[in-house]
Amino acid sequence: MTHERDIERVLDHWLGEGPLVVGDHVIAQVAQRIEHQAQRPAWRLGQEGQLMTGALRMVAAVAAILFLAVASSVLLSRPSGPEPASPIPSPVTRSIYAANFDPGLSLQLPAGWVNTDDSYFSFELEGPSGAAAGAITLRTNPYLAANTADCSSATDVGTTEGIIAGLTADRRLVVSEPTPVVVGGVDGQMVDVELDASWTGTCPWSAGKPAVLLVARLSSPPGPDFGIAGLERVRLILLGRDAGVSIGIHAPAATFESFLRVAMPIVESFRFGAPRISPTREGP
Amino acid sequence: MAAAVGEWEWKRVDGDLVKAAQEGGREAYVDLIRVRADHLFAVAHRILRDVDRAEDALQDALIIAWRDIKGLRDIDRFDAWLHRVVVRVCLEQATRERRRVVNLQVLPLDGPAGRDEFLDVADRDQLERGFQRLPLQQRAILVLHHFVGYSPAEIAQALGIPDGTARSRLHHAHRAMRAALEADARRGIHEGRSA
Repeated sequence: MTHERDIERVLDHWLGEGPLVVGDHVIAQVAQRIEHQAQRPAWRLGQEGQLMTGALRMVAAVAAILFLAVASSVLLSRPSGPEPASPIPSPVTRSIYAANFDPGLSLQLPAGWVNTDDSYFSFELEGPSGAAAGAITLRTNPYLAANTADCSSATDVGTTEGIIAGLTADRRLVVSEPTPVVVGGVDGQMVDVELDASWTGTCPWSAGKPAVLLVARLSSPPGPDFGIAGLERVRLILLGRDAGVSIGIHAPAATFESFLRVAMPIVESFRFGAPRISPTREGP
Repeated sequence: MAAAVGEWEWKRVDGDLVKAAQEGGREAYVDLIRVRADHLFAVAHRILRDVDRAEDALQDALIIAWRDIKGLRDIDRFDAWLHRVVVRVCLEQATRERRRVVNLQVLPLDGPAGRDEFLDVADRDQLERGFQRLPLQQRAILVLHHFVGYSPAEIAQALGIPDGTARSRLHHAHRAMRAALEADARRGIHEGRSA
């Protein structure tokens, strides 16, 4: 077919075919959903609310490589002597960049760690021993999960303060005192969460183990973000006054503290791509 | 390129409505998207090749756009920005879907518009198969160019990529489509199907 006809002309015609009208229910549902969807403040969005461009990523990549090169040369030129214990098991790190995660992310990753998910809404890292042994999960725009049997619904509580207050008040959970934290230049709050020993309720995704959904999405698409199951502990970090990004560090309770010693330096290396993700732009 | 069928008539952005939406005006936002919904749905459908998935993607894209509209500084770029959100959500949803379902559904093209004798049934089947073999990024580029009517410079603006990259990707998408069609034609000959 395409030997004789020009491919562009064919595509012009063919792509013009097909449905051109959307059902009224779509706009009706959008109108309904935005009633519960807060807008993100401009300071938390990149230029035109979008991701880093390829060119910016390239600049960031080069800058990170140069930084590593300089840092390595400084370290190598130190006089020999006893080294302080390092929380990172391997000195070999590499810079990685989120190709899709909004609002863009760059970080330093030790050897053995892998990036298993990078989407507009989520970004995940797994440790060398796999997700069951420990993982770091990022989500955008989290909301406090609703206490429902399906373990997949969100409340309309979307502020950092509100989410943490909701988790703290939840008798199914044991939640530490919130601690202020700064990640990638953005202020936030951090809590450690585990299930109360008396809680036995399960979730469809928990394989029969006691579980609680911690945060969920109201949209984009709606559904569970992450929860806690069985003898697991989670460090939950919410960034920005209205919790623009959540970071969850998951590990079995028995190895949680040692996993944190590896995971927290990774989190501390986070740099968000949007240049205006700055706490100085946040209003009172 | 011929005048694109999907070229929309609402190119003139109502700045007051965009500003009102940026200030939290939900009614203003719904007014803005109501006149664009058909066109954006058509774009999503042509990328995803499925009515239900296109509706889901459009709905999610319009929620994201509401959430992020405060970050839009140049109101005149509202439509390019909105296209970008829709395309990104289509790619995102298709990627998620692909993790669960490897084989995408091939739908008959029974839409009401644009049908003529230029293409016969075999052509359309061949195009459908060829198009579905393309990576999603290439599908999106072809839809923005041939359906929306974007120039490479406008594609670059809509997708947030350099101008040259948009031109190069469009070129590669055409080449990939041609290769997919030729491969399909060869397969058709082997299988005794008329191409």
